[in-house]
Amino acid sequence: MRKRWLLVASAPQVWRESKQRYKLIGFECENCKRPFFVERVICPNCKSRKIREIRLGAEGTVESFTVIFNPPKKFEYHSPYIIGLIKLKKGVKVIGQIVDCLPQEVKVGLEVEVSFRIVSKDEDTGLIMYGYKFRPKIY
Amino acid sequence: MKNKIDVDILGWGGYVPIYRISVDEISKEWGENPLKWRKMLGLCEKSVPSLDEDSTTLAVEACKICLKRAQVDPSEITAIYVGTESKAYAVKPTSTIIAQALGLSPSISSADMEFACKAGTEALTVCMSQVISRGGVGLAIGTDTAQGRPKDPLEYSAGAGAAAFILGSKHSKRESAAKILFHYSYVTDTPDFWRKNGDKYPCHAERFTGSPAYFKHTVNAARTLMKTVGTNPSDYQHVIFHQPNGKFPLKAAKLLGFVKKQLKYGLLVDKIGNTYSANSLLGLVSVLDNAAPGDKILLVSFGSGAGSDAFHLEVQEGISEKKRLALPLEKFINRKINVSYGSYVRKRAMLYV
Amino acid sequence: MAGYGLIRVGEHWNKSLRHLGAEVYLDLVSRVGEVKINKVYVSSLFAAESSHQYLFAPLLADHLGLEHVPATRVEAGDASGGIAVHEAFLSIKSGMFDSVLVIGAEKMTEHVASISTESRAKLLDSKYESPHGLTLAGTYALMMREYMDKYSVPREAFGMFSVEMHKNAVNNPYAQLRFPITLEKYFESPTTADPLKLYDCAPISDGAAALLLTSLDYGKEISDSLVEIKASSAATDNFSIIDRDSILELKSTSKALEEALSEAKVKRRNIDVLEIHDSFTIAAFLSLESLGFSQKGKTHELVLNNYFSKDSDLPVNPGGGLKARGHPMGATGVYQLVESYMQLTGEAGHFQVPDPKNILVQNMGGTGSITAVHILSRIE
Ligand SMILES: [Zn+2]
Repeated sequence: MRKRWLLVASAPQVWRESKQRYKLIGFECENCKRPFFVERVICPNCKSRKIREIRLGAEGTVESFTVIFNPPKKFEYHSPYIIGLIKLKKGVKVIGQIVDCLPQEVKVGLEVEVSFRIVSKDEDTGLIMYGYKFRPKIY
Repeated sequence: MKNKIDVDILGWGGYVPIYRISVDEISKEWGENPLKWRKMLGLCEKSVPSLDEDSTTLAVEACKICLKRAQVDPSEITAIYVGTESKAYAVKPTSTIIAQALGLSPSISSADMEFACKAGTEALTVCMSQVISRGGVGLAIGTDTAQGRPKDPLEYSAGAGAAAFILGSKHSKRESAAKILFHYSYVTDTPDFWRKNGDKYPCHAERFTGSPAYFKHTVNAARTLMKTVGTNPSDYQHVIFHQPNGKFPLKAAKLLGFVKKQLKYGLLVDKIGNTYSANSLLGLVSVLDNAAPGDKILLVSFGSGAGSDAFHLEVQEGISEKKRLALPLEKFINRKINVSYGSYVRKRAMLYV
Repeated sequence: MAGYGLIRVGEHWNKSLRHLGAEVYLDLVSRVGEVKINKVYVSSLFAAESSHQYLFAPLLADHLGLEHVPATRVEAGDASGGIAVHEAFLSIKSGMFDSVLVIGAEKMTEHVASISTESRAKLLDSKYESPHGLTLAGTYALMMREYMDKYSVPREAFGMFSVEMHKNAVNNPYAQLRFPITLEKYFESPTTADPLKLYDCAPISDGAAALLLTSLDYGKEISDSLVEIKASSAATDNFSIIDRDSILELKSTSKALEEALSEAKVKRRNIDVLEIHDSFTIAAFLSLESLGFSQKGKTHELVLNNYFSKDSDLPVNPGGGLKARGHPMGATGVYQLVESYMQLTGEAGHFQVPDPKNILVQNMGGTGSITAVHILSRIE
């Protein structure tokens, strides 16, 4: 049976977004130095238009997390999966799946690091969106 | 000494996914005697990639470790070659995805290699040629999420992993961890194992994969190389063979006159299974994680179809410092979550029909 | 507000989206007659997705026989209803129109639950949230965990809120879940997005509601039951929760509330009934705090002391709220306002609150990306 997903990323979208997804690129206002993750043309803090890319590093901590038992169709076979609200070292927050651990092992404050994964895949065309997920930090 | 080359290994890195399935768990599913399989294959468990992992993602993880050791800025890399038989796309290069993920420059030589389990060392030899002929710093990767048909003996062993190496030459003027000094390849047309276009799982010729395929090529390549270099088995502190199961490399060692001690660090199959294109290269990663300056290493890969690449390496002073710069493979081998057969079926995307 | 039309929230297998819209219009006409309508706002979130229909507003206007009347669909997530009424309010305030019809209509049972979950995930950021498999419930679950962690809130408080909503819905003939639940049943319900349980979440619903807004003069001509919209305000917040300083503050709600209070010139203590957006129990708690009717992290104490029950001084959602009346996303805001209209005109029957004068209605979109706040008052 072929499956047609509703939430399918287009090839141009996958291509456009790959830089940020692959390398966890963030942004910083050149004027007020506010760092942020959501790509914008205007600084959310001081409204400056001068925004530059920054590296956010590969480590962070779990601020909050949830375990999804009722997933969207597209993520059915991944269920249950863990999603974290991760605070990166620069104070910037991102959403990402937490992998390589069991739900009961995740706690608020857990230290995590970036793992390069398949974020989503169009099972019909095979188009893959790669990007960041997080795993418990390996020491 | 003829044919001497001089390529530096500047960095190395290995990655194995966290999940494992044991031979016991698989044999239980099929009502088989686990002892029989453990004995026959000489392995306990194999690594299993998650649904969100493929040969590309494993390679990126191995490369990140490798880059830390090499202390090379990604933009300085001039070539990337990836050997795999489980490409994420049938048509669309894996090497370019990895290059983008690591931040490599677009002005590089890049290619995907396929030669069954020998694709990884094939990437290594092409990369060697590149850095010798054109200078610069190259990245060679072996990565696979190997496929084993349910109930097939391969199901017990087909694992997942990736190994990456950054190579340079004397022109790159960087601290070397080890030198690759000799190389020899031996290939013939031998149909011991193949996968038809469009098929999900490979076919193999069972016992035919043994003496006319694995042993013939492995032994020939190793002997010819040692003859060229002028070494004997006892000259090597470490030897690494392709390890499709736990028994073949032991038998090959015996045929060539190596002893068990020399296999200590390079034999990983019993814990992670056959990682195909990453197989012998992960053995090399493990050896480098544990080697001392002055050690001599013999690496012999094997790929069905069939052929073997043999390499003579000598460990350099730079290794001690580089070892400390990133996680050893052992961390990833010991980090594990064992899964049930049901969970394995789901992780290997067998639910998608 | 001069009149309304309603249909019970539920699973309307035999009714299409246009059918639902037409039915509530007929219900409205049966109360106020064939009145003049200058403009139609249709609030529907999933018209395109579940009913494969763009231009749903002109289609509906045509079906209602409203020849050549301009009609526009308003999409503001599950705040579509509140925002549509806000737009209608502005168009009357502008002096352009005397009579504007708002119809909220939604069909969510057209597809299986996992597809509906996928549709609702589109209320999240399509680049930074939903591609990771985050769902709307999952986002509120992230808020709930942080809330419970930060304020050491006992789980029963959320359960009690849900129990209260179900109790209220029993008396609301338009509610979807007209059955009481126990705390035990709440705890037994399955986890949807940990820590959220099924009974923390509003159900999947079909529904439609119609509301007629008029100028005071025209309203007096056509209706004896008028309710004044004393304030109609809307505000937005950082769209993605990753951009918010605190995920426990619904700034779109507090901002819209502030403006509504000053516009209406009323104080919180003058509000007799609260109609809040309890799409999830945690949404209710955060809403009550952002509206300033309870202190941060203290809502559970009030809930456990029945401070917000129907027979208290400040009833919350006397019709059962989104939790138990049901939550036909794009239509929900219109339901909230219609039920409040019924309360103020004494038409709420078994779910009537005694003699309310001012009702505050909060309707929120997505994770609080947008909020509409209305203050309604009885016309003495
Ligand atoms: Zn700024």
